[in-house]
Amino acid sequence: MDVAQREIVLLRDFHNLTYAEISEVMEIRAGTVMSRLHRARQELRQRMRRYLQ
Amino acid sequence: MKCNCEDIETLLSGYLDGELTQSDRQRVEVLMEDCEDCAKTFEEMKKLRGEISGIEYEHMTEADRLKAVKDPVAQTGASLGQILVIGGFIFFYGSCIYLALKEMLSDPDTPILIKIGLPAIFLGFGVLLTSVIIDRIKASKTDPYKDVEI
Repeated sequence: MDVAQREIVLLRDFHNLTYAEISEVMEIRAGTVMSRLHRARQELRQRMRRYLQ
Repeated sequence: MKCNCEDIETLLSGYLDGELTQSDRQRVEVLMEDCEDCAKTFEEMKKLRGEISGIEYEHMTEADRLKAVKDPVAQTGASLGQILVIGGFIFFYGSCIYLALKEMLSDPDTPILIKIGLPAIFLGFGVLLTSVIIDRIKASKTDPYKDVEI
């Protein structure tokens, strides 16, 4: 996973930031937070597939 | 049942994080009732989210930190290295200056101005360096924070 994907997942799930806070921290538009986060989670899910069974 | 839901799938993350509007929430709920894949994706994401929020990073204990800082080999190495660098530096430059001056002073063709001027400059550097070192030693002896452990 690239650094930005790791960052967005950790900001949301580890540091419990809201989407508005994430958009501020990562300097991205509020509207793109959800799609970026979702893509990152999909990537993570693919990589963790083996452990999710 | 499968669905063609790529456009709406992104909303699963928003749903998971409680960031959706009322109407989008309802869309997702309807979607998950109809689409097994989406429901499975959602469950997996929820599980991953739980795992991530439970991550604990290991911190170094104070004892381990002190052990690393006070490692005798590293400490001896550091001070030995410092002494060698400073000692070698002074010895090397001292020898160079000494040899150069000796050569010049013993040469009868050297003008008297240089014979006096150059040694004076080097002597001046030496005196300055010594005074700085003495100052530093004095300062370190009277340093009120010298016993503070970092």
